[in-house]
Amino acid sequence: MSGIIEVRSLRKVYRIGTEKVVALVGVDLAIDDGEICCILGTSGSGKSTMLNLMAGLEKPTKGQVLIKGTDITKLNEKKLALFRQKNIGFVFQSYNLLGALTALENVSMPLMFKGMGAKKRNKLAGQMLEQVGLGERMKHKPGQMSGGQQQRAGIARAFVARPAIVFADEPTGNLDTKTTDEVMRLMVRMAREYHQTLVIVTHDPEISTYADKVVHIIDGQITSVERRENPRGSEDPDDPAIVAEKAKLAAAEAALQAQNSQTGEDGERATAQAAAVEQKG
Amino acid sequence: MRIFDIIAMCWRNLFRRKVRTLLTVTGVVIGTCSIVVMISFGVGIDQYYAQSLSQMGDLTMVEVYNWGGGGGNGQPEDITDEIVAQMAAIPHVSAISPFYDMWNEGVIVAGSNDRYLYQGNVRGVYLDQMEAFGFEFTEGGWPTEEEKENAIVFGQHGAYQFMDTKKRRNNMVWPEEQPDGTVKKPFVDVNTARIRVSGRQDGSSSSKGKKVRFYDLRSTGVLVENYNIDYGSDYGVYIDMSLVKKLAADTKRLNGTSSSDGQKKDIVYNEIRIKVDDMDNVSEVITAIEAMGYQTSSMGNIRDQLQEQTRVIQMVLGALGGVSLLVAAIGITNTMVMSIYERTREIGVMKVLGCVVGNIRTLFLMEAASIGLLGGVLGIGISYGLSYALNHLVAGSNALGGMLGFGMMDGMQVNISVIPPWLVLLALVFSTCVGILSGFYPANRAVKISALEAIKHE
Repeated sequence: MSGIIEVRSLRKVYRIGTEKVVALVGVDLAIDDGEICCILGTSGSGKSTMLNLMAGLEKPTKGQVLIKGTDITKLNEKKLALFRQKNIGFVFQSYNLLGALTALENVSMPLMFKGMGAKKRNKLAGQMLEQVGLGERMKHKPGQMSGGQQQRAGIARAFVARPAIVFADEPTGNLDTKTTDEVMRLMVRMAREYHQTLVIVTHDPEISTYADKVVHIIDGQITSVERRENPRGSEDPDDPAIVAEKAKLAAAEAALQAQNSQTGEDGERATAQAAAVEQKG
Repeated sequence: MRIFDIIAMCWRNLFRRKVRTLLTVTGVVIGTCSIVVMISFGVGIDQYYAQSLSQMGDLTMVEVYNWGGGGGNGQPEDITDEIVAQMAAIPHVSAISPFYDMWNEGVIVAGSNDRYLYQGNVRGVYLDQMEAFGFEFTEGGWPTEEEKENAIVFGQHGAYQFMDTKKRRNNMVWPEEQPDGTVKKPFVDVNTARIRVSGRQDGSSSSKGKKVRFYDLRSTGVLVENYNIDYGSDYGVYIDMSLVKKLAADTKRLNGTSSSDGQKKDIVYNEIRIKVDDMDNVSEVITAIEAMGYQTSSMGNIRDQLQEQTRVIQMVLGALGGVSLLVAAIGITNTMVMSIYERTREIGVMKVLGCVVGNIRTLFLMEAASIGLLGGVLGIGISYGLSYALNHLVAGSNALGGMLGFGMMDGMQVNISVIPPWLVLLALVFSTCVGILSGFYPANRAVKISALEAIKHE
């Protein structure tokens, strides 16, 4: 059975001046429905090119990208946009929330592009923000939120339209270790809950531990595809170890919130303090 | 994307960059102001001409003359009732009447034993058409259809034209003011005296012994003198053409000239007046009349020529204003291009999230159009203020008014700047269109921005 994403002999050559740079040699890959796939490679390995081609942001030199059986390399710009509206969510490294809009407006944006009315889309976006733990920050603008909070809003935005596939491009690249774990767990949990396919591109081997399938890419070629059993973030929620960890996290959160309400300090510092509290405990 | 969402987004973007938006809008405001104020001068001049012409005469009245005569040799036919009927059938003619001076066809007398003889102008007209010509009455009115054949309408001082035939000297009175402040009354009170009209006996041998037939006349009203319409409204009287014809026939019978002069049966008019239903149709009617070969004269026609002239003035002034709007348009384009540079990443993100290209174009065009519209609205507001100030400045200073060529007329408010509603609408549409046009280039740039911009790492 073929996967939800199927990449066939995909080749991409960039022309820089008179020089040709081969970014992808001609790769084949299949990603199954509901799978969490991590594309792992160093910078310049061609992993970002791979993502751009799979999301239809660039046209390949050769080869096909089939998503749900449709060859997206053949679609024109308008059809691609409509296709992305329906099927694809995106999480960026630098969050890319629009600075003039509140968290709620940012999250409801994909629904707005679909033509959904303001009332309905704000309700859905509100629910989504509750789910990512930003229920209190709906009216905040990105500038008033910490990096972790911004990325959680970014995740809410990627998942709000319930797309079949969510692409994440170095989603934790700008975050510290603890926030990275939070964000990764959040993404994985959401993808599992609604049986969505999640494709993560990263250079960080740590991130690959959250994936079902890890694709190693070096110099524009896939060198290996490994399957992982019991990846992180997908454990049974009733596991005692997990419960203990969650309780610890909740305590840290409470401490953080108490700090925030007392001092009104910005989130970044509060998070650092909360982390310190956690380490002592 | 819903249009309402695009509008909301557009306004948010403009509001986000308040100062820049305001500065760009100011450019449009100045452009709109200069166009509106400049054109308002043109409109003011046009209205001034119209006002002064209408003081000189009725703009919807056309006078038709025929000084050539007789038909044949390519000359126009004599104007008879038949020709008048043809003219009446021309579209937009709302009333028509000859104004015929009766000299020899009859005499009007009044008082007991026909003591008073009328000396003034007797104007033969179609009394049933007179209503439309705009005469005013000091008393009474035009006769009804039944009355008209025996009706006489006096000019304001028409009654002073009766001469007392029993006196050798001082046989006329004039409306002079007397030492005690009252005005002298005429011999004849037109409402009570018996007034009669008959054919004229020339006193030659052929007319002796023939019986003169009299027709009783009844005055239905006294006019207010108005030389713009007809001089007869002062020292003249009006009777119906049907009566004039009867009198003419009587005169021929009395003097036995009917056989020798028998060729000409109908009375020939050399002056016809036409009332046109609207000022804008005057030239059309004139064209039709002139095509029949007759000369015309009309204040409306003069106005058309002046309008032609003021249109040129308006265009020149408008073009001057247009230059500043052009500068404003470049300002809009510049602002939008800058804004797109800043929002490159934002546009990329929107594209990745599935915003279709058409929506992005609409968004930017709308932002540009909004700047234009906003500038237009504010510009019109300021123009009204400027116009008000200018008019009062000029009204307060005759020297300035005279300098600009505006003579002050009696009891006439002269505005040098007039902003009619069509100019407001035109300015709004124009400034918005300028905004949209200025937005095309930036909007297309925005559309071409690659979605990849969004995922570029900082």
